[in-house]
Amino acid sequence: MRENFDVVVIGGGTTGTATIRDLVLRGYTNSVLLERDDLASGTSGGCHSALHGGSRYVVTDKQTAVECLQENRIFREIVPQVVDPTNAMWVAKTEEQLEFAKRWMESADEIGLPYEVISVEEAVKDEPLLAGDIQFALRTIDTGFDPFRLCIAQAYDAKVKGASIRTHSEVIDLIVEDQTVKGVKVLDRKNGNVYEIYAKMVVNAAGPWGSRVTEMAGFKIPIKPNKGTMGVYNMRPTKTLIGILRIPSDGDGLVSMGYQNTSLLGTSSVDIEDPDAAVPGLDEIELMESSVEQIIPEIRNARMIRMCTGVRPLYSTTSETGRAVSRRMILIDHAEEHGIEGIVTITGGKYATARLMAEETVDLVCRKLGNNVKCTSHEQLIYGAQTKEDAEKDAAYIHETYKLPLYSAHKLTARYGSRAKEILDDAPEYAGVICECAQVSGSEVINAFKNEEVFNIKDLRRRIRNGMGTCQGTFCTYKVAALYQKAMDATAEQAHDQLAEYMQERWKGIYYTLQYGDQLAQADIMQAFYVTMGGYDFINTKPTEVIPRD
Amino acid sequence: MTKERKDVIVIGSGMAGITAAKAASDEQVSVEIITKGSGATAMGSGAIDILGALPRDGKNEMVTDIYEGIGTLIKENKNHPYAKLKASLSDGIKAYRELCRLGGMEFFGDGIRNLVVPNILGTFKSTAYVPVSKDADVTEAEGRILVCGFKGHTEFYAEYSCKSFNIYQEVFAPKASAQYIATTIELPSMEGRTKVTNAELAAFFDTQEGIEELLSVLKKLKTVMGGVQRFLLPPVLGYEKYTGNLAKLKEELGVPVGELACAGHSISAQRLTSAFQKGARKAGIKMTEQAKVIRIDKDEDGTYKVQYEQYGEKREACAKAVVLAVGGFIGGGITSYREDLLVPVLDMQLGRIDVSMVNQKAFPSDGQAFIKVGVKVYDNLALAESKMSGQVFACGDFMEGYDWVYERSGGGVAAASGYLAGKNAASMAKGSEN
Repeated sequence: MRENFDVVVIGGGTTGTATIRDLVLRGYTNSVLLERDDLASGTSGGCHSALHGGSRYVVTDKQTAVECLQENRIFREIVPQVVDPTNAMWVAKTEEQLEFAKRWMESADEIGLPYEVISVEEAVKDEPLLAGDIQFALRTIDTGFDPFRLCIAQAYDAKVKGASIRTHSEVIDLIVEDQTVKGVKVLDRKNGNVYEIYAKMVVNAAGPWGSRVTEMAGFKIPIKPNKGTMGVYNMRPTKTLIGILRIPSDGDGLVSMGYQNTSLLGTSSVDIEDPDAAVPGLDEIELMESSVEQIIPEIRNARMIRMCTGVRPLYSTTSETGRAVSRRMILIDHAEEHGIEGIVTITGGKYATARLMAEETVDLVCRKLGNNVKCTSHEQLIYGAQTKEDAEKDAAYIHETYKLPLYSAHKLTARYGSRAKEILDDAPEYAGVICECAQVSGSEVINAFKNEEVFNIKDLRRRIRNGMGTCQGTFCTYKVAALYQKAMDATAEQAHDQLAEYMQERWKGIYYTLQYGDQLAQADIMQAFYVTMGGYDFINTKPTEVIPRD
Repeated sequence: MTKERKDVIVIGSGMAGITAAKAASDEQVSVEIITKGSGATAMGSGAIDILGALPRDGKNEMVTDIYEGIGTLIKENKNHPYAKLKASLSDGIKAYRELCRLGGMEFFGDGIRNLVVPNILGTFKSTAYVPVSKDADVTEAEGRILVCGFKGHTEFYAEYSCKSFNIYQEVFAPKASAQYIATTIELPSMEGRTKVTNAELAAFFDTQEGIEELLSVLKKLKTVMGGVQRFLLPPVLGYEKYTGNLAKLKEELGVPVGELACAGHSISAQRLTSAFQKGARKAGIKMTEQAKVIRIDKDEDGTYKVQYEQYGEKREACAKAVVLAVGGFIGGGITSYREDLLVPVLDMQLGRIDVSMVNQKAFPSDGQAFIKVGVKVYDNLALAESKMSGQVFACGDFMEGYDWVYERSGGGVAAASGYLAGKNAASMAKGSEN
């Protein structure tokens, strides 16, 4: 099989999905995104759920801070449904930190980052878990967000406007003729098929895996995979993102707001060789806890429900490591750098700067393809975007029509914006809440499997957050498997394969917290539910992909 | 403060605790249960597991003959609690069943061969005794079984479950040859609903109107479907009137009617806890509820002082002997803080958890070692390795050395150890009388 597209984007993280969206907005609707696993399954999904507004980098990397600030404001406008504008509080306790605070404010003034110095009393009143002996506090712009949903929103926006989004589709080779990349060879992991796609241009947005792509064209690029470990709490110990005013360094740790009802402790910075082999470091968690403990003494009593990692694609041409390497975006025209036409690489950067990275990339693609259409991705709303007032109306409609608690209805509009109503209207008989932790409606499961490139329940969690709360999927996954069976007209074996694979995926994160003791009781309940009652130790299941990735 | 001194205080009211209280009470001593909840028992399916499997390297083995299985288990693992409990097992189960019967709950099974009960996950549970009615046992089932779900009921999906029952029947019930057929009922009183809960259904079927409505729908179904040889429903047929309801449906429909197994916050577990609370009252056992034990001290005269917190107040009870039926991780008898494992009621550290105790596979065939964590006991179930050594007894999941999840041995060990601990505590209390 051979297909033709205008542009192939490799990588379904935030950079790749932002790029395909921008391509479509500039008229390249005949474009395809290829992702070897699922949308947001790599670096993007492994971020610590803070869409930084610049405050983190204001002293050490002004350009990144400026970009973050600008992009944060744009995201709030174009995709309010996945952004939780919690803002941030930064505090100082030691002389050194107070000194840093001065530099921070000078730099913030310089770039126009809004902030407000507040009294220690006010800070502690607002965040009762803060240590009473902090010396200084300020509030500034920041946001919690759903790192999965933002990728998916960008991809879905591109899809409804004409693009193809293909997950579980791995690029296994580049087709190179006359020093030009003409296309890609793709392995469809779902069914094991291999096929070719020809295109005018290939955009490599594979993040830490980026060099693997260029190596197929014969050259390496200096990407340094850098791991961050995170701990996920089952609640929010603080209302906003809280961190210490100091130079960002490995394991300094901050508490960020996960989307909706979780929060995260993140994140460390450790160079690694193989981004596929990243596992959480208990020592890194310990380091971050000791750090955060200085300002939130009770932090160790918060319940950690899982640990996970993300891998940054840092770009380095020197021997620098960790935080010292630039977090700035890198756009490479390989025709100029390596003498190979037809491919560009976009890497580095921040989640918050993804749209800007896409803009620069598509500018380059357009120039190379002789097109001068202007970028509009910063002003066009992402499908589903709606005003707070409209979201409120829709939530009321959902509450009235489907008798869902208003709380669940709000969560639905917060996940999907204006699409929430459609999703329930399309599968009204399954509207009831099936996951109490994350308030997931059954209609969402049906919608995700039918419309959102969901292949298995592992993917599903990135769309609807099933199993991502306190019980880690114990009481909802069998319901999800039943709905999957219904939506996809699957066999019982397939449904059990889905369930077992997802519980194994959940166990991966629980495994580390168990060594930390935090989830023992919950894990016992999960074990009893699926083994003592369910007999899952007697059921043979297999991976859902014909060629599984792990 | 003067306080009446009991003979035996049992801390905890899960299966182990109430069996211990019953066993002690049968020895004509005074007993008080102090409890904050029923722990794992309140999260279970209400069935009594004795031994359902022998976890092995490679492949878990299902156990059909329970006593043969226990024999193998003890031979291979001399430190398994059953090695101490073989003589108490049938007495323990008997005591537990008696107390539940006093509270209106019956169990079925012979305790010799395991039964097989379909569950809400679409698979089967193997267990020794099932609550309420034997009609849920499908070990040798044949013919058409109509499995009924309820429209809008998000806890159970009949269609998915039946597809699954039909496939996995040969794994869990090799002698059976039933054909499971799904139907989803819409009760006239709950028409158009998108969410119906377990609680709502159970409360509705406790009413005359509710059960009549269900009966009339099932009758129609039986006629339409033809050849239905058994009905199975999720366990929602009432909080209180379930026994009568099942009997009524069976009589009027002329075929067996059973309830599926369901764990978690199930109606089955709620029925059970309410039955043994009622049973304990009838047996004259005092139950102090919502009471969290803070510490236990021993006076010079040998009296144990149990301090507990109830409704925000500190209180104290004393007794001549104490049984700790405080549970494991679920019951809160054992807690953890980072790598440290702790026993709050004894203010004691119980070693550390490490990587070797957790299997990287979610549901491995040889079990999860962390589930075996617990306190050490002597053969008479007196605590070993604690400052209370030799004078306070332990039972149930609080004890170390067994993987109740993979062995399906939780109920049997709880009842047997509860029984032995209760008896021994009672005899100690009697012995210290003069």
